[in-house]
Amino acid sequence: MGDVILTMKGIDKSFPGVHALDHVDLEVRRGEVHALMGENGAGKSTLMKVLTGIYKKDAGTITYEGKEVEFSNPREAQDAGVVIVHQELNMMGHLTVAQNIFIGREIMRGKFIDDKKMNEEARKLFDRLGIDIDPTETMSRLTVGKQQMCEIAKAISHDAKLIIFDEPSAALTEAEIEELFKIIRDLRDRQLGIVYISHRMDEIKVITDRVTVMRDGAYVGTLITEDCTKDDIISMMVGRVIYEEGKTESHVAPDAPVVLKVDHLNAGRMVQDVSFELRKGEILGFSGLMGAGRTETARALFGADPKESGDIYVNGQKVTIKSPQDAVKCGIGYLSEDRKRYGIVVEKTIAENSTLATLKRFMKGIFIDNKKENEAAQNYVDILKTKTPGVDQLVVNLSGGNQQKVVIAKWLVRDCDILIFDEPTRGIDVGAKNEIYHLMNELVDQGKSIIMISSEMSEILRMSDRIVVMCEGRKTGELGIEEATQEKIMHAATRRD
Amino acid sequence: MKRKLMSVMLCATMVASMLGSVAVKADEEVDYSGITLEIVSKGLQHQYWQAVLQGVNSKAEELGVTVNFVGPDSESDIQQQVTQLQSALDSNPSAIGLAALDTSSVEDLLTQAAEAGIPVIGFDSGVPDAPEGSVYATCATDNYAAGELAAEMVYEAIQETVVNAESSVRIGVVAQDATSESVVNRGLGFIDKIGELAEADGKTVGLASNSNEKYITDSAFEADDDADVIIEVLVPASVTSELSATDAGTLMDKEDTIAIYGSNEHSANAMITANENRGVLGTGEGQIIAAGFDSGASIKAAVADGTFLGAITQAPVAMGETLVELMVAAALGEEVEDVDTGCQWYTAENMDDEEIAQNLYD
Amino acid sequence: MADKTANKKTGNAFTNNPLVKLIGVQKIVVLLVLILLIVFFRANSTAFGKYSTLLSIMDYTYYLAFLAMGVTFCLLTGGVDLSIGTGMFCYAIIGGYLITHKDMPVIVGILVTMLLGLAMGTINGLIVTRGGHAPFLATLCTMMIARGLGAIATNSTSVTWPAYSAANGWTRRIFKITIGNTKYPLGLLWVILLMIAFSVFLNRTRPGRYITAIGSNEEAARLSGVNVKNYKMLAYMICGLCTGLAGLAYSSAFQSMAPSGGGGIELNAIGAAIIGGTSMSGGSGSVVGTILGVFIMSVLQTGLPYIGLQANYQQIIIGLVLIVAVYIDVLKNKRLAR
Repeated sequence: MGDVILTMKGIDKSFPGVHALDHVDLEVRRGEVHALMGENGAGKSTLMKVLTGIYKKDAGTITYEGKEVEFSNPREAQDAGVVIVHQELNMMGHLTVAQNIFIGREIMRGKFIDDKKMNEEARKLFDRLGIDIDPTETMSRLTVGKQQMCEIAKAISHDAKLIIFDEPSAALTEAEIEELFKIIRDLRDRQLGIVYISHRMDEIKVITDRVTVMRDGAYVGTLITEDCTKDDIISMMVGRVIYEEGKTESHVAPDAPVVLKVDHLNAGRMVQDVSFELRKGEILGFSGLMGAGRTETARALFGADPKESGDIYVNGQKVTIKSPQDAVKCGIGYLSEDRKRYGIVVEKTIAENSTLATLKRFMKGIFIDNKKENEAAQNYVDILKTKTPGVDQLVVNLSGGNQQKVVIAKWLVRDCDILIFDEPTRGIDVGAKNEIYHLMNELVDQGKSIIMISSEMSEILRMSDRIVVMCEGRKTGELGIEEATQEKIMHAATRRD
Repeated sequence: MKRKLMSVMLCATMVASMLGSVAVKADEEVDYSGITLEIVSKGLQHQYWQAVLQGVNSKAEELGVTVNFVGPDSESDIQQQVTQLQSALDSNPSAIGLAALDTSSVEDLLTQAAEAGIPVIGFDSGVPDAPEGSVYATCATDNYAAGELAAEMVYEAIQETVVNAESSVRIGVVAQDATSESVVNRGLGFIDKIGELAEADGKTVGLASNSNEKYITDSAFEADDDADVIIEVLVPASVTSELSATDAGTLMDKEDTIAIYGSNEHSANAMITANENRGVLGTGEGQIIAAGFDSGASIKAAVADGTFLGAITQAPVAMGETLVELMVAAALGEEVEDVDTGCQWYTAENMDDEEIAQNLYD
Repeated sequence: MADKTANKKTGNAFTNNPLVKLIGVQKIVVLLVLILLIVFFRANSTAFGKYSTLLSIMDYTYYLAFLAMGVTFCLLTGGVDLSIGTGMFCYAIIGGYLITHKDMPVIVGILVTMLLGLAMGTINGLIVTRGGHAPFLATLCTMMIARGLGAIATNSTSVTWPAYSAANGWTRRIFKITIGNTKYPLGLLWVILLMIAFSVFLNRTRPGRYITAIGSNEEAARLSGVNVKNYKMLAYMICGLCTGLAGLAYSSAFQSMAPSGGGGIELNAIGAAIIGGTSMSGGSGSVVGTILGVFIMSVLQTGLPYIGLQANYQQIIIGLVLIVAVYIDVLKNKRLAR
């Protein structure tokens, strides 16, 4: 390890209503791979965005190569040698590899682009990195792993001194990860500073020299990787969560029947051989880190995305679910994680949204019985305490929490026995959150069953009777609420097997 | 009485086509069977072209020659016509008949035809400004003369009104476009002639200032909204029935309009559509004198029931026949000359006469 | 964090007026513009005030109204149908050809026209829903097919439906009836009846509700168990049938129709729908608004020549009006995307 290349000290950043970074410190040296770890929403990405000038910090100092800096945009950071290799690839599939690498700074000959020269330069770059890619190949024809290599090459071609890898291994195969590590080690040996963001505990141990852990926007500590165990890191990540009325034991009767059984469900890379059971009156929590495949599992189960194989049993009967229509017929309702995109029809009224899944019941002959429709909608506005002047209000005019209540109303009107709540409290304030928790408890008391997907550890531990943990498309753990702890969940969520 | 007299008015040049046909028929020894003719028209969609085709087929059958008659889907489909001419040329025919939509786009092909020694005969609007030596002859209606004929007929009906008028009077012209040679000439012939006749009666003549620019520039008169006789020429932005009908309606709704002329089937039809809502056309007291061009079910009905004073018909059947004769003659290496295939003014009285009826179609 | 503003105050005294809310702001504005236009044309041309001008406006209105109401359904699903202009000509020409050239009864011609429209709508719907083509492309292709089909089926001849006074010219009298010595625009009655029927259909029946829901948020509708494909399909079929109706209206108002004509009319129809408040991106709109938009188009097209504007200027003005209408649509979408 060489001298310090980057020091971030006391970085503070607030967004309306959220204290995203609370005096965070980070120090990176030349020739080290520095892991940045933390749960979802711990503030890792925000910190990197502050560094590269996407966000402006409220307080604190950034010292880079001995000088205090404040980049006002990623371009400036790039010019100074600070580059990010993103998790999502920012490549233009129809262009060639070389054209992608030199996008925005094409090599010119007179007024024209010199493709030949760019191919040559790209080839030299790949040779230096020991990457075997043809620069004239069209980007979309490469595997995800190779595309990632190109992204790295592009970063390095900017004469980078500090490279940030944001979950680079998420989409890679074992062999590709090996190749990636080889390149990272090579870069380290050339005295570059490297920040490595990942959820994979095993990788952290293999590739990094030091680990900085963040939690809830705050700096927890920095450890030398060699000297610590996985458990040390996990305990720093999870900290102590304070939650009220947390369940200490399952509320489900021991003899409660299984209402939903999913057997060896497969749907692409994100859903691999997932099996679980849901019992009557149960809240089954689905935990895991971003990209664990929980939403994908729910969508495949619900028929929203095609599945490759796997059987689904509702109340012991095997059912065929090929479309959401089929699922709805089986009494399954799905509250999407992204309300605006998948849940509500914003330009329609509360009444229209509430009956969207059940319109058949509100007909008088061939006509919709508006009176009956409004009454039903009003009934659920009252039950759910939706704040609105009336059911004829357009949903677009409601706040996030109230929009969520409209989505819930839609499935309650349908009288579904199985409800999938995907991130039910995302973007909702504390008061509304509690109301939704109460509601979920009431629903299971009435004998309904709930699958709750949540990225919030406190929510999982507070609401679930049982917890399924997923990691990279596989089920990696199943815990009863009695035995569940944050550490156990985090272990399973970072297990890669 | 007057009407009776003018009803059987033939263009003098009709005779020329008769002579032409005699010239070929005289040579009875020739065997025509090896002759193949390719004819590229401006389209097939108007009844007019169907009548030309009828003349072509009957003459071809009579002479025993092979004819292939094609045309683009619409009269604005220049590229399609070029393609059709190209394949006509590729089949190496004895002669080609052509009514070009746009001379410049077929110039190259015409030069190729001339080099290959394939004679080209123009018809209908022909091939204006064709490359030297490529087009041997053209058989066509003299559109300008046809427009003049319509003007003479209309003026006879309105002369009294014009002479006695105390304020200005207006004559409307509904034109399909300002780009097609034939449509423009029919318009200009009408404008120039009717203006000339009015001036002879001591009136000043001018075009309405909102008339189409092309017509103002090319006619014998200046834009003048205060003249005794105002001629207003309206051209729609695109060739659609509803736009032309609106133009016609606008003209009919003006208080001082005494006559209106539509210079092809499309425009005459538009006048009929506009009149269905108004009922202002006719020959009675206070009604607007109307003249059309070409035939077709609606126009024939309008002439028959007196809505139109009359209409000009070309002689498409004769044109088709003459075209084949000229092509055969040119294929055999004979000298050929331009032929005016003529036009006729038809009215309710004469439209059933055989020599006129054969040129009227539905 | 946003719950404190649960009941956001939106609009002002005008937009919150119950009557205004019921009718819709855009429709009121369009109606006002329409009245202004008529007053303007009336003030600048005495001829415009004639009864015959009203009849001319109506000739222009009928077919455009049918087309625009039909395409409103496609627009509501978030799609579009570009084949309607050319299609209208194609179907009416084939229908008319059977009457005038094959001596078939008029009713056969009408049925053929309508069925061809329905068939093409069905094909459009199939390509869009089963083939997964973008509506814009799918209907552009069928537009080309319609263009060729009309020419082939009629041997490239133009066709005129039986004349007003002819014994079998009753299709024309469906739209314009003579009582005494006056002609009455009877077609307006059919347009209004269809408008009412479609309004009820859109607002009070399940298919209508689903069609707008799909355009507003297709994925949400699908996840709610709505058979998205079938209802989209229905929208295209309705549009096709309306195109057939428009073909009848066109051939009843005008004289000859040439095969492969009609191109560009679809843009007038789509424009009318957008002026009437139907969103290009789907989900919001009404047939009543569309009819108001149709009147804006027909009054403009008919009125502009009366104030002595040359044809090319008329096109420019209509283009400008459409830009304004689309801009309003863009603004509305921005508000929704907040």
